[in-house]
Amino acid sequence: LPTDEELLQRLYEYVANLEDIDPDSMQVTMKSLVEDALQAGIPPIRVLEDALAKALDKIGARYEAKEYFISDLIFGAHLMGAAMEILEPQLTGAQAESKGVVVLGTVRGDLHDIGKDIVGAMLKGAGFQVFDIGIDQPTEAFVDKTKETQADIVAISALLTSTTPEIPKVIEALRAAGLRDIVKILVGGRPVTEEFAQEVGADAYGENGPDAVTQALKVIGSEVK
Amino acid sequence: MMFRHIEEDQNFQRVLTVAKGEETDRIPYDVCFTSDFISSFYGIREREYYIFPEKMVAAQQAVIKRFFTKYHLSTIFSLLRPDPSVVAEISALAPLRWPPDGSPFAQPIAKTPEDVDDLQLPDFERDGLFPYIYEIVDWMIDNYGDDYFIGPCQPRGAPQLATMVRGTNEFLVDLRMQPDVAHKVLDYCTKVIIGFLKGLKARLGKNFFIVVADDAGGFLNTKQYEEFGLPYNARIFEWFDHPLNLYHCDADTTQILEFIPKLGCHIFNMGDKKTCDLAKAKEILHDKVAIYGNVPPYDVLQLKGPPEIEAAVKEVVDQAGKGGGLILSTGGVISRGTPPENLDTLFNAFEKYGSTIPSD
Repeated sequence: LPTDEELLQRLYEYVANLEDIDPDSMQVTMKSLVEDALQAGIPPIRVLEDALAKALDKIGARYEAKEYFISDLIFGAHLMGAAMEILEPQLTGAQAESKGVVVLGTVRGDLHDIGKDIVGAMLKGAGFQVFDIGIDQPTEAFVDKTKETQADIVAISALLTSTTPEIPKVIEALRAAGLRDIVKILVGGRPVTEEFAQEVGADAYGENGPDAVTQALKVIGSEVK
Repeated sequence: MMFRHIEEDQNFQRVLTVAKGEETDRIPYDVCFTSDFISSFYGIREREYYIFPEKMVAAQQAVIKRFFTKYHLSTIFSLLRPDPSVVAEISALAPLRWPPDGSPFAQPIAKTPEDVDDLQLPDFERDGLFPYIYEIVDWMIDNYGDDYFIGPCQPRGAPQLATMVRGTNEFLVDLRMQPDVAHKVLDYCTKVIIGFLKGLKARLGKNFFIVVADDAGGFLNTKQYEEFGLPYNARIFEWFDHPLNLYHCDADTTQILEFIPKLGCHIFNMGDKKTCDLAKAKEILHDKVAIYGNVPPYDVLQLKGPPEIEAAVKEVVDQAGKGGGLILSTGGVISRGTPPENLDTLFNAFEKYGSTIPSD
């Protein structure tokens, strides 16, 4: 019989090596690999953290190394979703708790969704609970959803130089609503830089999907500004 | 008017010569000015620019006067042109959303594979923005055709339109999970793009050439681009061959460079060095497709000053100038907020570093 480590490694290898996946058998294979691990008595949280999350990290690393591209990131997130459909009902109590709650959106006047969607998919894959409020969102939408979900992180996206000035407006609105001290703010988008993030008082800047996950994990464990 | 006789403009002729794969005495140059920068430079909202053709023309003329006339320069992007925005094709298929000061947008219409089966070709003379765009072209020809070379037309690439029709995530997952659905969407999008362009070509005649915007092509990996990008984009270029036809993709492109010469375009505008290995592009495209790039339009041109801009131009010439085949430009479009004095620096650097062709 395979050991726990071997079962987790099989699942990891399957998800991390996108080019080998046969679309016709993906659902069945994924179900089988996840269930084999659970039936062997491996705690669901360990399946998530030691196989699936690590596989997503590997996909992110291969993206950074330009071995994978945006379509691969999206497919990796899709696989993660397929695995979570099987795993999620098994996660109970503290195990089911997410790494944090994220409100994610693109600012007012900006209709771009690709970067936001990638970040959302990868944050979900990394164990965050993500509330995507969509594109072209006014500052109030960020504030309202943050209140409603008691979010830990507000992730703000802008793809245009003309819409980046909306980012500090969202941050100011969160401050005015008394929320700034209890949420972390993550910003990203093509014109956004590390310097810009610091200037507007964000907690972190995510350069791309995998980096956004890294930054979200980093800020979630740190003190708010 | 100087633009009536672009055949007398040396820079334009050099662009044309390089695009034809022939030798020039120096490196020509151009920059990608689009609606975002042009409307802002002229002091109007981007929505006004799209909706009122008089303002569109006046804004384009203001940019031409400020930058191109100053440098006695005709280029692809200094031509007066119809600018129907990124929703030209999708407008015939889905409701549009217009922010006051930005590009319009449409929600995807084919949310399921069944929706893809139900897609119908639009009536190109009656649906969406097509008749409006055609009327603007007719109006431009009537009012400015004697003084200006009208062009280029700017369609989407097939993968780009496919992400708009199906949704980006859905289309990219289809590539792996439902390749037949992806092919159906791409075939449909290619027909829509070609149908739209036929209407433009009927009006513009021999002046007609295209700048195909296909950032989504750069979302694909090498294998996917070969199967899902190349054949469909090649169909578009095949229908409308012209030496100035340009393929634009400023997402990742190093992985798809090998397919660019097979597209049928004659000029390739890539993104900056974060997305495209220029040395590799030179190696693959040399003698086949003109390189049009790739000074970083945002990180350098907008955010930095003269030393960094000059250095970036020199770097492009060093990497891609040898033996010709280069049109100095930006790696992607120029955004609003780019200081005009930085553009002056850019043009001066283009003049300086492009004065001779580095030998092989």
